[in-house]
Amino acid sequence: MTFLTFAVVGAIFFPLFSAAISGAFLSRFSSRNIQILTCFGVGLSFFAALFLIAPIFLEGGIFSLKLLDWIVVGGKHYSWSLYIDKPSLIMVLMVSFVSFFVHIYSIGYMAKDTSLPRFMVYLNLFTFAMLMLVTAGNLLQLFFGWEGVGLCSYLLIGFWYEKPSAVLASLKAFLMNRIGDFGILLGIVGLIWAAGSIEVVDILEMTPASFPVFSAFGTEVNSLTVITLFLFLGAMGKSAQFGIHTWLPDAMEGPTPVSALIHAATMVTAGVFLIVRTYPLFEAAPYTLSVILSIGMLTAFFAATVALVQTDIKKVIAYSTCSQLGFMFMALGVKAWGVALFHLLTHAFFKALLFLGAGSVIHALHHEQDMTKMGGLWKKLPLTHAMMVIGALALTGIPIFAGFYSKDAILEALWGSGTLFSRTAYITAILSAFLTAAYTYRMVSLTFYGSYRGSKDSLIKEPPLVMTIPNGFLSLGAIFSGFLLSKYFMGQEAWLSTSVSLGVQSSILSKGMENLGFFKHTPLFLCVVAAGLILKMYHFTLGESVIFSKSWVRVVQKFLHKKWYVDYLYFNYLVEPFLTFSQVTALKVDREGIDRFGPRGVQFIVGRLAENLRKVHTGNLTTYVFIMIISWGGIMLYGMHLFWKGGTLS
Amino acid sequence: MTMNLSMHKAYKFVLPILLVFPALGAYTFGLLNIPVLNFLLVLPIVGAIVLTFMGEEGDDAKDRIRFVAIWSSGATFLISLVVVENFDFNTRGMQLQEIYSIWLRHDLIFHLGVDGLSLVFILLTSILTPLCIMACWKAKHGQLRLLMICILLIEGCLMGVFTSLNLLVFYIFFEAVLIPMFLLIGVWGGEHRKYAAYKFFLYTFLGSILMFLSILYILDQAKSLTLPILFNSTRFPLEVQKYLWLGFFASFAVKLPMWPFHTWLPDAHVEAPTIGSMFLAGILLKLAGYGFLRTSLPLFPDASLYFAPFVQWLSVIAIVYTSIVALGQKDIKKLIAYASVAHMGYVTLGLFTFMGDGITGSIYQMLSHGFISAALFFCVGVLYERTGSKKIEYFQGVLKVMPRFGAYFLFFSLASIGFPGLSGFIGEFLVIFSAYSVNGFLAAGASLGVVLGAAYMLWLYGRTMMGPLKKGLETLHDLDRREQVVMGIFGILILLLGVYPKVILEFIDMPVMDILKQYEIEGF
Repeated sequence: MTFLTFAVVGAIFFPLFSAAISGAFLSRFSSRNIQILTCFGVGLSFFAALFLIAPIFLEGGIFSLKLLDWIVVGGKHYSWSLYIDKPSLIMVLMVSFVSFFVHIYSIGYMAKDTSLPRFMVYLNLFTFAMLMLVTAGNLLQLFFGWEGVGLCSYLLIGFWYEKPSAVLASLKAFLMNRIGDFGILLGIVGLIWAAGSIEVVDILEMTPASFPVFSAFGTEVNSLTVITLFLFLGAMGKSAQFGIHTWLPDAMEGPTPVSALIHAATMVTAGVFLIVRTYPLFEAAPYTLSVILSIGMLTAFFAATVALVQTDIKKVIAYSTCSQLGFMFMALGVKAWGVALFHLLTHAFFKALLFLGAGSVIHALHHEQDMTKMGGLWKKLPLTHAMMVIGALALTGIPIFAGFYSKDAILEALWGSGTLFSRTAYITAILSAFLTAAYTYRMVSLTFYGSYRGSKDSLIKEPPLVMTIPNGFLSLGAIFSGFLLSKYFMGQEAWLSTSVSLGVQSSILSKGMENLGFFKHTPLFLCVVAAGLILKMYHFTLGESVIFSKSWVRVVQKFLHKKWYVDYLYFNYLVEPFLTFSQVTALKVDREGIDRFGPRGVQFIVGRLAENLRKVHTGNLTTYVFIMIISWGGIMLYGMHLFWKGGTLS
Repeated sequence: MTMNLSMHKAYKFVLPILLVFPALGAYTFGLLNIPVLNFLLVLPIVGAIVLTFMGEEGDDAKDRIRFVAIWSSGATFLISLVVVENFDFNTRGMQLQEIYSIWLRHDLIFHLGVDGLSLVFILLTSILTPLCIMACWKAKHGQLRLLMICILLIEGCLMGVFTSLNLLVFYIFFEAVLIPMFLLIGVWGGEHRKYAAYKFFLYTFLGSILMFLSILYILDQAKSLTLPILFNSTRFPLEVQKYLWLGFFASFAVKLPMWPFHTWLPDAHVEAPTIGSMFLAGILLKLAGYGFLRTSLPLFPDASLYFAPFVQWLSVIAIVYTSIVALGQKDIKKLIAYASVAHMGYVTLGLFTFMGDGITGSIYQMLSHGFISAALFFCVGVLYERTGSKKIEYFQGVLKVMPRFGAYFLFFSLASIGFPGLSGFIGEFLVIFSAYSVNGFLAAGASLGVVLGAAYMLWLYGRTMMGPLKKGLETLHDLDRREQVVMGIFGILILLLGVYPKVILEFIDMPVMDILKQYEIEGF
């Protein structure tokens, strides 16, 4: 075993080991020991991953390793194997980095919770599953990681399982994700059927022009389109895209560190990663790409508008995550996967920072999440305030901060792609960016500025260092990651792409830059305008109430408050009827239908027959003799008939 | 009391020695090329016979009864390992054949033999039986002796089904299982046990009569009932095959059960005691799947192909329909029973794709479902033993007082919904893949089961285990040592089969090729 192999295996399996050990001794180890053990597991994982930087980033190598046979049937051979190239190492480093700090942060945030050890084990397990996902050597193993993170998300959303709302939210998250899994599963089997392989190595080399075409519903369909659409359905589920997004805001029922790690930085970006991983397929499927672009567009805009009216600080950030994921999918839709990955990375830093910052606020206010009961906190929580502002600046794309580089690149790519459709997407994206600035500054000003509106008697003080230090590290990422790394993701020389071409991306990026010219500063300008408007609304002449007194604003506001009625429609017109339907099926169709006319019907008929036959046994001797004679006569006649025909009786 | 204690200790001391004894004997026999297969049948029945001569008054006697039961089933397990040891995985066809002419006619003989397929089911049976006995170790059943006799007889009959190569002997064992099972439900069952027991017995037995007639016809025409001979020499014309196939199908479809012949199963499960449910879902449901593989598929290839679309669509209906019905259940046991029907849908779907992957997936699905459903029914049993209720609405927030139980229950639920890395996934994936190769819509229907499965299992988990603890449940105690051991063994098996399925897949390759050969398909 070479050192490199050891580093790779360690990077991925340390969290599993620490989770297994602390899980096995959950009740025997002290809480402190488990905290140390789990943090150590993830820390070691990050440390080990650092050793891969040189061979993979600098020398451009690709690491692949087969661990164990998995499903070996006939000619098919799927194993537990690792495949690490540049995109997956980026993910490994990001995941273990953010996860490590979230682990440490949790020690402070959850200090008073007696089930903290269980929490740490779940976080550990999640980290392992996520690392398995991003380093998977084939799609089947990726699916293992995919389900693994889904399970951990389920466990962590329902962590406070005595809260009915948390139970419902966890169930909702798992089931909505299962709808996506339905797609992934079919995508995978379809890919095996069409291409014969689901190894990542093969997928990255695929030239899908030769995919079989079949006819369905009277039209010719390329199986590639179907497969990519199925895979995208999976990505939509995990990345909370419009249609199956409703679980993400509800997932905020989980503890805040979970929201930071799973529902902002890592798990929800798995959908983006899946598409990056199988990009050669998507690149050759223009129809799917336009579906991705339109869904991304819709999500980015929808979530940004809903975020505008939320009063729960975590929900604002959750919708913001949803919206930013929409941006990433827009980039994927115009073949700029490098930019999508870049935005994924910067987003992980600043969104985790925002969530952890919000967590600090919630912690300081003794689990108050309602922004209408906050205000004026910048004096009492100066450090948290500073970090939240950094996160907000990064999210809204102010120059120097990380979001500026990645978000502007997405906008440029959209414009540069040049079709009418992508330009529509550009307009939507600009609008969404404007809204992003609006809801972000609304959140910041409601939380930190103005006067304090909560209960006066509680003591508010900065959270302990164990919570502020992780935030500090994440703010470093939120400030510098964009500025330092942009050239790797977007430069003319294709650093990122080892196998999959980024040629289209660099051409549309430069075209976008040229065409937009001075107008490429539009988002920045709009962001400043939005900030100004928000400040004016909340702190100067116009109160919120003045604006909301207008009737049309109230209509819009209600529409947004109801989250575009998506949840309402789903619950009333899908979930409820379906449950009723299932109960009716169980009682009426199964019991009163199949069972009644099947076994019970036979029972009834047999009973009736027996009843009737009983009447033959009258006890009357003459009847018996009569029946006997008739029967014997019949048999003899039949025998004679056979005899005359020349047949035999034996 | 002291006497009791010392007896107990003596058993603990003696048990390992006595367990190893028959196994060592069998191992030596194997080395000497003396047949070992018959041990599998004989040992459980010997145990049952020994039990009939034992008294059952007092705690001591109960300990003795349990001791004999666990001894004979445990030794059977060890012997099944010896059989695996003597088995050659790279040879096609039947191995370790034994012939005993105890019948009057030369074509009705006691002919034993195994291939990889039978071995899988033999292992399933011999692992599950001791686990089942451990699961009902402390159950407050009356007539403990009769209960153990029934269990051992079931094991013996199952071994008979899985080892016999004579069609009639196969049929006799196949039906003989029903008698002890009928007693299990009828004697130790719940309130409406008599109704359920008769329904179970008559419904499943009625189906078999047609199968019996078909067997007689085969005997008449082919002059032989030995399966390997029938495979190689006899091929009936399609018209005849159709009728014979339907005759067998009538039996298997009820036993499996396939939609719409499934309605006896929920009744049987609800009334059966925990141990009965574990056997019923764990092994008895697989008998029909094994029957398809052993008889219908290789004997009537043309008819099987002819009826394939019919069975495929029935399977998909079973998966979707029973999942929906499971969602609407109010009783935990009924819910899991319906889930079993849905999982059996994957089995028939895979079998009738006539692809190596599909058939392998089906066999794997049966094995894995054997463990998973038995474990789930054990979980229900644990709850029932403590509270006397199986109603979903009776439970809420149990996780608070039974965290260990909650963890295991979640684990088995996940296994049941096909979580990758656990055993349920392998079969489902292979079946869905082969269904996709036949028809995309079949695969889509089967995949819907994955979504619906998660819905009913996790909704059940959410309603019973999570939420605020219901009043009156505060005094529930968590798993004791024995229950933890049983759950732990189930858990390890399910995890092992999920992460490294190769151990079992190796068994299946050759028999699947043997079956495919009947369809003029060489290899996979």
